[in-house]
Amino acid sequence: MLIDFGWTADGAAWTDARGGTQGRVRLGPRGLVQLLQTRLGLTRPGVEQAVRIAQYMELLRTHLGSGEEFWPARSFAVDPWSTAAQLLRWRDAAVETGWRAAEAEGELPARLDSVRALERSLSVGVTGSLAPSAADDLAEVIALLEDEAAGWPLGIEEILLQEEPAALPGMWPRLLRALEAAGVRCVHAAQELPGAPSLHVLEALDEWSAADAAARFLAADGEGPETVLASADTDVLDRALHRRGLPAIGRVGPSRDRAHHQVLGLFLDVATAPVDVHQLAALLDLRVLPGVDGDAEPVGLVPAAARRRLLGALGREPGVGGPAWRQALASLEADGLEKPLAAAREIDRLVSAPLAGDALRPREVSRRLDWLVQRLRAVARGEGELLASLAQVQVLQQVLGMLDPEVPLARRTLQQIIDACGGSGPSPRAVREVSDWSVTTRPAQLPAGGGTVLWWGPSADDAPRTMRWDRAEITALQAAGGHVLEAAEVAALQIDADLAGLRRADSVVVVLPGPRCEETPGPSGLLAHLEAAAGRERLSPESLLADGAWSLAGRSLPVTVPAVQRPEQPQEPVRHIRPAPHLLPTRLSFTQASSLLACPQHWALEYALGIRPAEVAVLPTGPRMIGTLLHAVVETLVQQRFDPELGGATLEVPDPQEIEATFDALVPQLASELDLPGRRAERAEVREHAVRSLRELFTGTARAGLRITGTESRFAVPWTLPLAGGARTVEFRGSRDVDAVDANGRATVLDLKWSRSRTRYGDLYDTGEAIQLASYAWTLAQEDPGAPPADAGYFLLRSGEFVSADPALDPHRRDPMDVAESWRRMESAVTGVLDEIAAGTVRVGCQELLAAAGLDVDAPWDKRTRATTKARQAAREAGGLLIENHCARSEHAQLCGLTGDWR
Amino acid sequence: MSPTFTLINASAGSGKTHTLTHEIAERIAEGLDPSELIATTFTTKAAAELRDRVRRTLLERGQLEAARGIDSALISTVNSVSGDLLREFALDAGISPEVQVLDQDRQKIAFRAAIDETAALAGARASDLLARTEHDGEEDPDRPYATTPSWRAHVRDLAARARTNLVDAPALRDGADAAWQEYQQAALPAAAGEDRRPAWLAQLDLALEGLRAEVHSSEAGDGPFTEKGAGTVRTRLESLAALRRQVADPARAPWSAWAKLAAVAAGKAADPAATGYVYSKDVDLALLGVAGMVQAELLTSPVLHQDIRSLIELVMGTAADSLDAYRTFKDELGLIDFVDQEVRTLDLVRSSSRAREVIASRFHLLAVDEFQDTSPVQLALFLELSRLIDDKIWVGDPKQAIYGFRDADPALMLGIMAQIEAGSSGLGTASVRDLEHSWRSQEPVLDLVNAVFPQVFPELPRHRVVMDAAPAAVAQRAEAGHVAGRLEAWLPEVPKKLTYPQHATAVADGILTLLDQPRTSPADIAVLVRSNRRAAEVVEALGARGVPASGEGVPILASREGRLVRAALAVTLDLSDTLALTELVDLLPDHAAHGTWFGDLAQAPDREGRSAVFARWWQDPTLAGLRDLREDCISLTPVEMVTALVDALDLPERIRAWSTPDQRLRTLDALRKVAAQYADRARADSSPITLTGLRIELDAVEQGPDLTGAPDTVWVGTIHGAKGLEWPQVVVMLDHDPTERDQTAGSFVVPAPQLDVAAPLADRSPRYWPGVLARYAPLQEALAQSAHARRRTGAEQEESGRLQYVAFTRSADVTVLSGDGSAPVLDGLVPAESEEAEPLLAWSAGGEAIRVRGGGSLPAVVRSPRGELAERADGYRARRSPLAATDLSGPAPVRAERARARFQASGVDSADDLGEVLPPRTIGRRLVPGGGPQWERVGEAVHAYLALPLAHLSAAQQENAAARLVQRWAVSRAVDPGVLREAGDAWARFLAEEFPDAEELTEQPITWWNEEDQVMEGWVDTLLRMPDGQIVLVDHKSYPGDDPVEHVREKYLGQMTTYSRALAAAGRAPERILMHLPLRGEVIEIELAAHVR
Repeated sequence: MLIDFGWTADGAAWTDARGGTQGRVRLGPRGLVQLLQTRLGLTRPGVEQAVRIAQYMELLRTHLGSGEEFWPARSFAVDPWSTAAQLLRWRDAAVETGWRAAEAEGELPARLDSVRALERSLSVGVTGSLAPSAADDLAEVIALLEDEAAGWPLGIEEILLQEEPAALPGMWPRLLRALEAAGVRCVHAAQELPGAPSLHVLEALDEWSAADAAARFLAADGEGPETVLASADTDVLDRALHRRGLPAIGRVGPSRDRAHHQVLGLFLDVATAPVDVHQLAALLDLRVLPGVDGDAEPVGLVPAAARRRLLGALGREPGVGGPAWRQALASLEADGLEKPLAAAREIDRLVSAPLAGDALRPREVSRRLDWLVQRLRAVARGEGELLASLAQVQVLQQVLGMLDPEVPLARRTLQQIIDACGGSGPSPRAVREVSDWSVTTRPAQLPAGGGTVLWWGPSADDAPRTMRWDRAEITALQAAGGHVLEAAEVAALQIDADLAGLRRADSVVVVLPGPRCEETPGPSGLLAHLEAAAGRERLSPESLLADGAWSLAGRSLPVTVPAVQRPEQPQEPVRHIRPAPHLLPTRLSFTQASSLLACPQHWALEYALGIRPAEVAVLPTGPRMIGTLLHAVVETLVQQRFDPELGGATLEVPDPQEIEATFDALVPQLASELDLPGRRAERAEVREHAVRSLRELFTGTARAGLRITGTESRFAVPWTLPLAGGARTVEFRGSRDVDAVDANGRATVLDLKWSRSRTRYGDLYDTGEAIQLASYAWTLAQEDPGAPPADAGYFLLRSGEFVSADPALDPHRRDPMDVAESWRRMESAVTGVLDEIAAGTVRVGCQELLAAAGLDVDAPWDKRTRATTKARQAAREAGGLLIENHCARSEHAQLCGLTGDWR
Repeated sequence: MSPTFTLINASAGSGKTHTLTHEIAERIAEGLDPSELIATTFTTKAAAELRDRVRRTLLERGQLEAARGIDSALISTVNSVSGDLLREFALDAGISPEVQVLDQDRQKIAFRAAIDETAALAGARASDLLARTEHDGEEDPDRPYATTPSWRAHVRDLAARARTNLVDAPALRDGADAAWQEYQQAALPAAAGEDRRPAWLAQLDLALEGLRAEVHSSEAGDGPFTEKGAGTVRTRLESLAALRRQVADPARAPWSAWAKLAAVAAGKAADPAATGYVYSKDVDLALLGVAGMVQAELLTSPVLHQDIRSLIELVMGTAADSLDAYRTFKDELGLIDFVDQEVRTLDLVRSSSRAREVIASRFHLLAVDEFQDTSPVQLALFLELSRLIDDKIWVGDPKQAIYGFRDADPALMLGIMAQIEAGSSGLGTASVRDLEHSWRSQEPVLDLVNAVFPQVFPELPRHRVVMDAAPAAVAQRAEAGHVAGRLEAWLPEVPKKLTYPQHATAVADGILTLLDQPRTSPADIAVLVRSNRRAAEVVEALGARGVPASGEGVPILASREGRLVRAALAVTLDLSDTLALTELVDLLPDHAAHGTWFGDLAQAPDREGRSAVFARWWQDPTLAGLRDLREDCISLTPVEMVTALVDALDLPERIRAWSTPDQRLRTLDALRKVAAQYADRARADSSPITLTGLRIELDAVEQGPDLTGAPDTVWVGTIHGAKGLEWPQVVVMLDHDPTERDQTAGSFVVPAPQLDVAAPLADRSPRYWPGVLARYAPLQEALAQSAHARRRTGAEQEESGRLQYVAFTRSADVTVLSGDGSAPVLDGLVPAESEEAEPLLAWSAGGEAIRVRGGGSLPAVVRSPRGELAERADGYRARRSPLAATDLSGPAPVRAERARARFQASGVDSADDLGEVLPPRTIGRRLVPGGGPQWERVGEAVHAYLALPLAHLSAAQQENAAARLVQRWAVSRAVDPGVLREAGDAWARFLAEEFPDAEELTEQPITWWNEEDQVMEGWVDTLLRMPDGQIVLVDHKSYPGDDPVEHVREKYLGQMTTYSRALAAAGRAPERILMHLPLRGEVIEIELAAHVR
């Protein structure tokens, strides 16, 4: 066998020739050692680095237990895993130089001293206390060659060396000597004459136009053999190649940012206290495999039924263990869904008895993973990337099994172990396709024989990284068998090979893709070398165009310039369709009615036509969550005061402790994220707000003699609208926050708002446009037709203020809102809009308002607000009603024509 | 070698980097090894550039060897150098060697999390105090202006400042008392004995009562007010009622409410010369009594005194606690922030003797670029390193130190420089070089600089401020026929007083004039402004005239391409997203339903009908790419997904036909960045990274792409952003009335009375002054006169001078000053001796020069661009971008499966028609019955054993090898070494009988390109070569099962066919193919079908 050996040849093509070869191979250091291991009967199963670190960590722990003063002790106490990993790196690097700890005598520099101390207590080997590194393998090969296997036929006739043996670091010169002694001919390849290839450098300003240029270059006819040297990711370039019917290069890196590599970390996060419900929701929602076909839903880690119901529960109550959560479990059981139920129970167990953050005992952690292993195996169907996640979990269990089962791990150490257990996976885009050109990713591996090289994305990443020993360390290493080169000499090994590779080309065409993710990679040192020889002139994309042709480095393609396309801005603020009585609603909530009035088209889009965003597993958070929480606190406090004889709650004002206790009890169920670390200050603030404001709610109502009779009272009453095409009865549905009665039996509806604005609701009230209040009062009247008309008002949870005409509630001395008149205006407006829609006219309310005020859609906020205020006033004066639209900030803004790119 | 210290003062454009790289190259030529160089600068971009420049300089000078080794030099940002040193000496410092560095955003979050508990407790206790002093605002409000200050934000600021100045927790606690004493002395009269607020309240009630009665009577026609007047008073009474409610509860009544009342006593009602009334004339008159009382007593209130003091103690005490809490928090999580990096490195370099020795032995040149931008800690670190490293070159320009807001401390730095220069630093003989030639700017530009800045920097020697054009540069320009340089002064034409939006419009108008000049493109021009807000105005004004501007582009979600990607992502992930689907239809003009979608959908009779319409839309050919993507998107990363969506929508081709394709392509990259940042953040928060998460993230994106460097755009940005950059023509948009903020509140550090190079940060002490009653003039005016406020104001002034220097030195050919005929900001820096004196710089319409105070004048083109746009004003006609040209036509091709370039023989499918599997021949004992435990590993061990040149090994060697393999593969429980030897012996016997003269070649490499040009590289287990050259292919398979023939047929026919054909291509096809099943003790022969041989 003939071996072409180069220091940088690992991963290179075995030969440059096409057709077939046998008995020839190009190998780098890793490949050659592997071959010799096979030849010498020194093969062994692979060992995960995580396992080696765990071994070293336990060795360190034992050594530290001996009580001796030890240099790494302080760092080990802070971070055992990384300290072990760091020491192990140094240890492997020292072994790589050929240093033998056993031969090192006397005082040593700190790093080597620590390594020696540990080395004395360990045995290297598959079954030893430390699994071997690549350097140990090499040392073992040399030892065998120099001893028992001297004269052993290796089946290697010749090794053609790209580097002088003496230029190689560590044990390599020695290995080569041993091979020669074993009868292998070692020949140093003749130095090729350093040529200077012709050079073209295109500096693109973005990766897509860079990719166009590179793809065009490959698509155009050109002379001679060509090679693509892909120094950077080619995903974008590959798309440009496919667009032109050309094969992809497929240099796309592995990553752990893929859904199925997220499983383990997320699972353990959820299994550890305090449980973060958002993480829990993410785990429930996690999809790990594509569906069986394009239109099917992707497969989740948690079975679909369990996922949907538990997520539904969290969406209602963002906490664990509350009524919604328990009901979800019960419903799975009631429906006899066995597998989902089992999974749901497992999740429930996981979060109701989470691992304490400060008691992560390896055995306990490992045990929790059993279900995950089982579930992954079931979902993976024996193939695909999920098996990588499974392997990761199993390696983790292996590592955990090596640690002291009773010594708790820090949260961080566990995370480090998880990270070290791998889990990054190849991209489905990392596929090199058959092409006319050859492909390599490293300049040193460019084929002999010149030709044209298209160099994609050279950058500072081509700089070599080397391990650095200090003077004193070098002396110590050499004293015990080490062979250390200067850092610059080691770096030169790679740079010289890279430059030699590049100089084998006749012509190098460089495409610099510009910023990636808005960061421009640092300049390439290798390119600087080429430019120093060939000149620094760089090409701009523009300079490649002339007379309807695009050309680069002698290759050319005809190009055309497409006509400019500019989308048109919508002109008329109204849509005309065929009469559409089938779009009329059968049910309306207050929200729908309000949308209908604000912008009929928006209502049509969202409700009548069903154009809606997908439901995403996003739990309520922020103001919405706090609003719900405080509503529930009110509800609970009212229930606690409910006296059936009174037909409502007593007028007793809850004391701060009672409000606090209720708040504290409800947070884990309704706003459990407030209990997470880092949220204490916020939680304290909300609680303080709640106490002050709810005391005000109860004090105020008591002062006004109002007895609360119900909270969250649901209603569904028929509402008959006198439409042009005949009366139509729809169901008006919703719920009222707070119902109350005064001593005379007169009812009051209160709506609770957790809102920043302090003036908005007062304004709605004063203008009689608080149609929410009007409609709630109307529903009360419908439910109890004989009763006197109800009062209505707001309570602002944030500021603890009422908006009401009752001076006992609100000191602003407001005039009472004419609830009946408001309702009349609302009903008439709704009737009008529905008549129009039935007849085929859908007004775009938001556009109409702007057009009437002569404003563009991108007019500044204050101008639009002013226009709204004016229009409201005008409508009011005409006896009508204008409801402010929120189309511009809604999800339908684009379809309403309020946002758009008409450049 | 004795230590040396070279200090290079490099004025703007004087070839700083050139000088530095040549100095470095010179040192290397003199024998410095590249690995002995440590060079720092301030941004990663600058560091990459510096490395590149050093390499190119070495190459130009023919120092090839050094150029190859330059990667071993440590050329990096300060933080990166610190990070490297810390990692290297982590065990010496007793810290984790693998810390995660927090970026600025995460640092903020981590700090908040760390002090959460401390702050929650302290805040809860101090709730009423914070209400009275109005420091209970949100920490990160949505709208930062006009909100209540947050005491926690102040804690954060103070703690950050303490950390960059090496102020520790005890010093913070100690500082509280001093801060209070100084505050009190500066602005508060002695405290009165009692709390007078009840009296104020009573007096206020009386006044309100009186007013109400008067309104009442007036409305009845019998009072002091007219009908209209009564109406006014009535509305004012409402806001007074609100104020009354505010002060009702003394525990929480804000001091500002009282101050508002007190202001009445300073208004027109009390003093006819004052500017106006606080409420209205009648109301103010009625309130005068109570207002006077409050005004006289407010600042003596013992409660107010106590509140200010308590607030100082709360903030400084909590900041002190927070330093400890934050440190513990980070240590537990293995986190570190930028400041820690520097502080800990400094600590390390000071305390670890190993680190000191290694650094001193390893590095021999310390180059510091942009030294003027160092923070106090960085400066201390550089000084410490300078003690260890014998050769130092520090390059920079104190005139360009403009990072005071980031805690750089120019005063400290200048003090140190002075000592180094004087040779009194103990860091070696200092040699100072001043670079006085400008390689950047032409004479007229320099004339302006030279006329203005010696006055702005009176303390600097003149030769360090003025510059002349480098003769070589002048000659070069002359030779290239470069346009002559000039000054311009713009005086916007507006009807009334110039506003900023008008100014922006005028700048855009002026730029159109510049673009009319020959050989001028937008990329030649920059507009420098004071703030991001001004920049936004100018960008908008340029946009209105069709001039593309750089900076931040159109927000991602406001761009067609951004919306398309967003909608495509949503619908690809979830087909039920009918909104996203409809948006796609609406955005894609070639979609069949584009333009008719509303009507189509409205026509559908019911829900099922609408579902059918949606389904039809999804099947449209324009969405074919997305349909393909839907099938395999689940395993893509967020960044890959964005790339895939861009491709599926064929955006790169579509964009060519749209306006500004260059900018739109940047949007695509910005989208990738959103995806990358999302992934980074999720990873840091240990949240899962999912495409659904990406979707949510994308929905919330507000920013636009970074258009820096986009072709044919005018650069618009702040002076800070322009640092280090240059353009042919620069428009400096001058502030109209540069207001100085009063430096009466906030956190700050009091400098040491005496500066010590050996301990530059010693004796500095922290302070916090709260912004209580921030709008109450009597208090604020007194505070503004304090030594602290005056010193801070002075520092701000100096910074402003340096900022102007940076602005005026950015242009090569043309500097344009745009403003209202003068530069008020310069007048603030160089006050005139008399009030009537001319401004420092002045110009007027129709003039031909910029007049300089004191008589001089500089020739200039004076223009009056229009500050208000006429209807249909002319715009700039941007030429079509070169990126619009395409080599393609027609829609994207349909996705096709393509052959992979590489394949493995073992992956080639088996098929029955590939050949015949003959019945097995027994050659030995069955070694492993059935599967057996660990049979796969046993197989590996046997396989490895058979790969050895057994025939040439002695029995002892064989035995050792077998034992080794059993041990290494950890299969001793399943087999003993004898089993391996038995397999070897059986195989040897078989060979001896069957192929007596064959040469056995084990583990042979073969490569093969198949008909589809796919390449296979692999190892053949064994080749037997006959004396006549014929070969036999052998493969060992560790199959322990019971149906070997079927197994081979099912699994290996493809592999063997491939090997056989590969061998044929390499010269000779195998005559026979054997499968050796050592675990079963059998050999099976395969006869390949003729068509595959």
